[in-house]
Amino acid sequence: MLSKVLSYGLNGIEGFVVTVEVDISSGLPKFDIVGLGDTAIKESKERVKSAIKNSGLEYPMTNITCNLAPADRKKEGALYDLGIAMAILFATNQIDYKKIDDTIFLGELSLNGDIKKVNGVLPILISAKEKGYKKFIIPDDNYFEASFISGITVYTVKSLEALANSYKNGDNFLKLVQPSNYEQLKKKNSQFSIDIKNVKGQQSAKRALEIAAAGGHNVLMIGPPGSGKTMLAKCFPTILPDMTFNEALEVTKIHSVAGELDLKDGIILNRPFRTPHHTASTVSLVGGGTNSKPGEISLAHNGVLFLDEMPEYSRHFIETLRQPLEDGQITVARAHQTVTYPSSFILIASMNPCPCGNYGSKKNECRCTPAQIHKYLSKLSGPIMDRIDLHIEVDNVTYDDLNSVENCESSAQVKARVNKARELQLNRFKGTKIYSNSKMNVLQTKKYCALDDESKKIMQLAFDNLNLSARAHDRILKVARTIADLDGEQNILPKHIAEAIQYRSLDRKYWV
Amino acid sequence: MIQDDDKTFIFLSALELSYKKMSDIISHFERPSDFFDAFLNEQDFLVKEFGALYVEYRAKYNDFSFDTFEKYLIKNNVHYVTIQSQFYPSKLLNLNQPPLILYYKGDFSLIDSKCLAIVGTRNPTFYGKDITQKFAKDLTDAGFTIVSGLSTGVDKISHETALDNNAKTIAVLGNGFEKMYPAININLSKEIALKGLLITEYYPTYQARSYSFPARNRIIAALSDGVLITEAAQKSGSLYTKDFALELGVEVFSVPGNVTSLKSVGTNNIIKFGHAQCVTSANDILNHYGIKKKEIKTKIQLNFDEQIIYNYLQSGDKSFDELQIYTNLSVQSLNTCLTTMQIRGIIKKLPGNYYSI
Repeated sequence: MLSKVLSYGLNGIEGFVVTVEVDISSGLPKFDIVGLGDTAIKESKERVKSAIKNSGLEYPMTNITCNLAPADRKKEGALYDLGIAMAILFATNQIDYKKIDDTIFLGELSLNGDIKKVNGVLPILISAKEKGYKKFIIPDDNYFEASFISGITVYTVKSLEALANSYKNGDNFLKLVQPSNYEQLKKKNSQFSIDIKNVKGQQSAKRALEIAAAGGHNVLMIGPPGSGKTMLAKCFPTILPDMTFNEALEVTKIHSVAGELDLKDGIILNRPFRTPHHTASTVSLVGGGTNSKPGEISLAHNGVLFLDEMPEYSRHFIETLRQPLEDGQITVARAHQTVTYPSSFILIASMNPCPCGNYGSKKNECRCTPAQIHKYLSKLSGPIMDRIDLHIEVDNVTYDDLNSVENCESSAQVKARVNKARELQLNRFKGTKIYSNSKMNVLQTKKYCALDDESKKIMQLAFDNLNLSARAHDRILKVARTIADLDGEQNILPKHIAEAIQYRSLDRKYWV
Repeated sequence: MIQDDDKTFIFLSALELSYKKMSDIISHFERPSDFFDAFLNEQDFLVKEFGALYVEYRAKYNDFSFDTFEKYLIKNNVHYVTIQSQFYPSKLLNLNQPPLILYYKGDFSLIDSKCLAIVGTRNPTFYGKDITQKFAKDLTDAGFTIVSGLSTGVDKISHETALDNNAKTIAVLGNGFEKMYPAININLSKEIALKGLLITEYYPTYQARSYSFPARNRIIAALSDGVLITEAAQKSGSLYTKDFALELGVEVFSVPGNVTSLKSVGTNNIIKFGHAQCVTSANDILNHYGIKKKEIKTKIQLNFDEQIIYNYLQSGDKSFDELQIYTNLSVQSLNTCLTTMQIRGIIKKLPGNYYSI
């Protein structure tokens, strides 16, 4: 007897319907699964067999053939277990076949019949909803993840036995997913454990981070070890504008696929802050592998990617950052499939001024030769430096700074200003594809960053006297635009330009 | 056409012999050109001098073509002068070991100008960089040609400052023209060849050795009317230059530094031991030579905030945070102030977010 059950597969964060077909015919006991499944799918027959037996149901001792259609697309993961088990139960008439209509089944089975959580539920629901599917049965553990999608009916279930019983006896063992409210949840849970007011001193760096947050600019922090670069970077998400619901969904989708989602909330409430270590492989950073999983730079989507000691990362990785920094997405091409993940993040990089870290320090003497420093700095290629708008120098903090009782601004205060500046930008770029000053192209820069005569004079003088390199020009304009936005000014004033020039340390060539 | 006598000098320098061996051989023959006959006939004297390397040298001779070498000279604008030449700089004859042959690129007449050597550590502090620049600028303004060794650090800064100031500079190399060391200075060397003078006693393919740098220091000392050491650690190569200068009776000037700074131990010591005259500005040197410098005082217009910053910086380098606490300006206005002052050349930004006058 033949039966068909629907399930769903993912390619990146986009999905496709998978039809699980099971045919039971007479013959020696045998169970074959066809349809380009990976090892997890090949092994699912053992799980399905034990789960059916241990749920008080009957496992047919005949020839079972299971096909996952479309047969030409690769499928991976254990989420088809539930679909396969149900298809067997339908095919053996243990459950009435008519009752399933077009329900999509997702779930991994344990040997005792429990249904365990699977990855990628949120992107599956979003994608299936777009394709017109309305009814889903998912593992109980994924309850909250499903609660943010409206307009579909989702049931969660704890075990295969409960699911079979609810079909057979009409007992309601299924739990209907109730919608959650994002805003409420956010109010309740969105709290950072750190605040920028706890960072003592470092006034210029804090100001630069405020500008970066307001204009979406990438930042490079240069300073000796122990000067607080990491701490500053960690505070950065606290001054970023809140995520909108749609942004949160996008982020959650990627984290769900990667299996990094906290199932308690079911959605990511705070902007992600990713700090991959420099020894991580390029694949884990960029994405890929056999499953074309999202890498760190995609997990940082709508958030912050923090690269501590940037020159220590492999040159290959630093160069691959160019596409995401430019387009806000990364395309992972592999032999079997090509996946595009969104990866629009603010890059915060930190580095020492020289290999030993003490160059320019007043406390310790630097022992690097000029050639060593030169080599160290040259690890950051021109094209990458082109995409980093703000270079800030962070100096050592003194003991007095650490003990000062002076009240610094809190993250909330800074964030209020940032939000205001962002609003101005959203209005400015209405109808275009960009949303912040940092993403302006050449034409837009020309249009929105017009300078008056006095500002032009400052720019001219700065180029003549401060050894600025040519690539600094547009960067300074964009940063000046953001500073003007923070000031609430319509036009860029000379003081804005003057401040922006301060944030181009590495262009200044006084460095070695 | 290369003269026969000169051929001997060129060939012997191509063999990269030690100074002593080369001068012994040249003084052995009545005329240097006699060398080749003796060399081909394997004269006893040469067999003794060259020893086991004789075969190798013979092979080298067979491969060596003076025509090719002459073409190289013309193509790369390289010239040479031997110790026999009437153009050989008389200053160098004061040396115990005057270079037997000098290869040069650029304007050789600079040798006869008023020369002052500026030497020092390869790895200067900001203080060292700063004063080297200041001295080099003021000295070139007063008409001095700056002589140095085209190494990194103080040498490089001295050459660069002279060039930036449209003044003349002489670089004495410890290597041949085709084996520039350090490689980072290749472009600088090209610029000096165009606007100043590059000079070396080594054959163009000679690779720098650890002893070739102290050796070129004797030329630096001999060419100069005075030697200024701006910053040197206790065991700095620039102290060799000082020794040569003292031997030759060339005046040595030294800029004192912070007594706690390792990079100033050398300069402070030679002042302490009376080897050098202590100088704190280029005027001290100019006074020594009886040159009067025109005093140009420019009045700087500063606004209220800028004046506060300026006054505060007079007590030493300050970090951004220190300035901010002292001036109590907002970060934004302070940044604006600092940029304007930098653009006007009133203050300087140092790595590490420090500012100085």
